[in-house]
Amino acid sequence: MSIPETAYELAAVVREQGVRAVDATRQCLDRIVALDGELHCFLHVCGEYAIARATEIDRAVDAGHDPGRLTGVPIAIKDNICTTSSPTTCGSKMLAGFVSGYDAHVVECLEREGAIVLGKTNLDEFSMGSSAENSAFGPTCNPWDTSRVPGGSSGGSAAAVAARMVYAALGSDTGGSIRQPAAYCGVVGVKPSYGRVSRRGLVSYGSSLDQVGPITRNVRDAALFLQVIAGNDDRDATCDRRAVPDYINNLTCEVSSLRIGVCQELLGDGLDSQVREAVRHATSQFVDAGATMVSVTLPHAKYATACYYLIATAEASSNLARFTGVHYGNRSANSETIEELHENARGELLGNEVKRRILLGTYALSSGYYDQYYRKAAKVRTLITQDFEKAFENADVVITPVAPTTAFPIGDKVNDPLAMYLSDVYTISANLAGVCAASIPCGFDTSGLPIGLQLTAPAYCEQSLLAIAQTYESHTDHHLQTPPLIGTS
Amino acid sequence: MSSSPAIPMSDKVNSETVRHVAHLARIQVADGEVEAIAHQLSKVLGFVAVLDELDTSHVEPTESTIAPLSALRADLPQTSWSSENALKNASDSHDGFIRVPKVLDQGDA
Repeated sequence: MSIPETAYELAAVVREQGVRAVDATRQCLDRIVALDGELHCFLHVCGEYAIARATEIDRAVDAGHDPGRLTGVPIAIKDNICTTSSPTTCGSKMLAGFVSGYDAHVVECLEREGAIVLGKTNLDEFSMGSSAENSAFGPTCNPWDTSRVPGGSSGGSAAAVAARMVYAALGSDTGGSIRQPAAYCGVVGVKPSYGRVSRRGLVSYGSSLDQVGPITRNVRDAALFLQVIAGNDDRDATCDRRAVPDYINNLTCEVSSLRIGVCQELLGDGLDSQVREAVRHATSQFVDAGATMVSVTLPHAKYATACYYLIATAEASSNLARFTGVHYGNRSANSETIEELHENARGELLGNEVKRRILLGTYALSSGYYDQYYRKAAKVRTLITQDFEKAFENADVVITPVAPTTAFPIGDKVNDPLAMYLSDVYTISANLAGVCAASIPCGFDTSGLPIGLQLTAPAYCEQSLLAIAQTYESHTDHHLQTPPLIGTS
Repeated sequence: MSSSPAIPMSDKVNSETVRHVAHLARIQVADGEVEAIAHQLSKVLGFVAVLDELDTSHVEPTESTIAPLSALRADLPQTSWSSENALKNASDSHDGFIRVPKVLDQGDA
């Protein structure tokens, strides 16, 4: 029996002894060996651990046990999510060699359901970036064109899924870090509503914005992974206690009653014409299938990037204060005083973008500037949230691009932080408003680079978000395309 | 209520401000980097000044989108980490403690 291409099907056949978890795991590890020298998706691969886990799962199946909904499914974890099976570096020299004393809640959930962790994926240092180029351990390349970025910050996760090295990977999304790389790599990415998924074990960046979510090959697998990781966790005070609906068995929607919100002001200047055309075409496909298109307006969306870079950096300046080389991480030699110890470790071991954001956040919170920067941004955040509330009175979902362009060349924006920030212009609003959003493949540009469609739904409406995404996917085959470099193996 | 800054939002960040903020953030910045950081921060602050277009005088700030009751759970004793586990990533520990340079002067002890 050949090994299925999706997590949902793989788990089913491994449970029925049609395919061995060990064989599925070996196939993925072989692909990592073959391709990761070129792509650099992984910071750590735990092959022995994975094979041991797979062997254990096969034995459990043979003994008549059911290891769970992800039985034998090889996965990867973004390297800002704590695992005891391998280091967690956040792509930073500050945490080189750090091994967490505990597994993140989401990792516990996935392993409890029989998933097999193959390793940890590359990212922009502490998730600060939109291209995976800010990793202290070198960039990841886009599997569709290795001269281009995979997006970021969860670039390693998206590229590993696109290159079929794993069936799914976890990412984290503070301003678009799951959705933008999913779009650049032609895979599915879901940012759940704020509070839907526990952040215990996620290394914090912007605590009022961060969410963990899945990156997968199709919508059904995204539903499956979200099903497993969502829900209450007493160890995360921001995790919501609402029951998790049955996403997997409710992936159909009544298209004739579906209202698709289109925001014209987001389809104007600064948007690549091929991306615009793909988004328009996707909208017309919904309409052809029977949905109603409604016009919505998000008048404050153009302020989202500015608002985000004050709020996220303010929160980061506080969250990253813990990295001093004392409790974890490395120390700089020859520090006479504790203050020197902190300043030297942070000065030497944090990368430029991380320092820039900590400094900006510190400035925005500092005496005399708090009202004018942080508090101003927090007020604009209210306006952005109200825009969505109004839009969702008339629309079930809002359709936008994920990013203004397809994947850009490596090196193109590294010296222009502001240009880099603007690649998140369409994704940031969902984090500020706490709503859920997904990126799904909706076509390719003339260079063969994937284009992503963003669907945004009200907070805690993941069930309808996924059903709407599945409806679109069932009318298209973009998600079935694979990068030429993986061949037909 | 904190006082308003004397300078407008889009004003340039100078070297002195960079050094002050870097000290607040406990980040050592080399002399040669100060100018470049000042320039980059000025550029970003110039960009975020677009928020000044909006009158937010009657808008409440949003610090979090979560319902405030989410945090409550029963306060029950649970097992916690061993000090060995907690210390395993510290680069310098001794007798169950993390060792750092002397914080107090001899005379203060």
